[in-house]
Amino acid sequence: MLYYILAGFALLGLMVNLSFSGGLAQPDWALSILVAILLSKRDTWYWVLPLVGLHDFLLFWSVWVCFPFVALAAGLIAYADINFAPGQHQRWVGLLLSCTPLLFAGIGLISWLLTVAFTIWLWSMLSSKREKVYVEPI
Amino acid sequence: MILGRGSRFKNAYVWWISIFLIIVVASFKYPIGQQLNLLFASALHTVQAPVRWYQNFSLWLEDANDLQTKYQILQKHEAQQQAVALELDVLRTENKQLRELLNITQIQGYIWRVAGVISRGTESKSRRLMVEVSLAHADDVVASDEGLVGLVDVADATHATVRTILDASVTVPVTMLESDLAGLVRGAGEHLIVDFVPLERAPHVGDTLVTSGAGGIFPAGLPVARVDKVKAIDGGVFAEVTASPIAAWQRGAWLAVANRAPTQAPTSP
Repeated sequence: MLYYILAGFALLGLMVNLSFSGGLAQPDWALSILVAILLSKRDTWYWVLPLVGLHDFLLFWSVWVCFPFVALAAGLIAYADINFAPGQHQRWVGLLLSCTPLLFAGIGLISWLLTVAFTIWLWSMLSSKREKVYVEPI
Repeated sequence: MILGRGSRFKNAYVWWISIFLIIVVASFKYPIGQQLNLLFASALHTVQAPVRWYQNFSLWLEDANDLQTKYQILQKHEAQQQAVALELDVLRTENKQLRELLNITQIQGYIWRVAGVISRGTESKSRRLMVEVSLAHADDVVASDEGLVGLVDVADATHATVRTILDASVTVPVTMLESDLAGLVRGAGEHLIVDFVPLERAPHVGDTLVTSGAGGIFPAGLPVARVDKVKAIDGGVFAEVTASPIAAWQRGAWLAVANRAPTQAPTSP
């Protein structure tokens, strides 16, 4: 349920990005939230990826900005989790893979850093919450 | 039981992904991103509403003397604008007479409409905008009070999406005042590139390029770009010229959209 609420916030973030991008440096809210969800729980890829596509369509009028890289990151995480071991290494690579295309799409460096920082914070928050439930089942 | 549930989920994946792939393929032919922007226009208005309320409310808190001073400054600006407009009218009439004398085919008049900026692309120098304007059409010209901004891409009854001149898909025929230079300005993301500028006619750094009116899409004489760098290429005929847009559309709330007035039937000589 939490993930779907976050998806709603991602949509709201898209609107905020479109509405106020001229005035202030802000993270790419939608991409941050969606990538954090994907890093935290890889099974969410099937609805996260279309939303990343929507993000690309709305902000860049093309699906070939972040979407292919996030798809690649989702594949990489799933492959590494299954074939090696679930861990953070593949997720860090996935994070960089997902966020780097923004730099080439013309987003400012401060906005990019804010995006990465917000993603890491949200990913950590979501994962720690899940981890706690796993370690200390009641 | 688990297997059944799993296969239902798998079916959902397949449908979901198929629909998305169809949309992706359709986006090659149809401007889906632009249409989605127009679809979300009312949501953007809603998101911006608190800011508008705050701006309206803050007027109540402004000092009356400050408002009076601002009003007087605006009145002064308006008087100056009127003087400039009068001078422009004289020049326009003179230009028209000269064109008639020289028998130059000129672009017919444009109808200008004021457009409020609703959203901008997230790039540090936006390549895409959405404006609130009625009766806009694809390829209408968008300008600020400083110069050319771009072209309308897709429009509905109340809103239009705009590709700015920084977008690689927009090319503007340009010239320089008091020169026979004819080049093409195209967007390169963060700056502009001026193509087909012969070395011997290359502009200098700081020169202003204006629309030439060639092609009939852009009205002649709109400032487009200021030259930043001119570099000769070894063995090349043309100079490598980079420029930056004169119009700034990152912060301004208003732009103007021009569409061509219905053309008059040509009069026989």
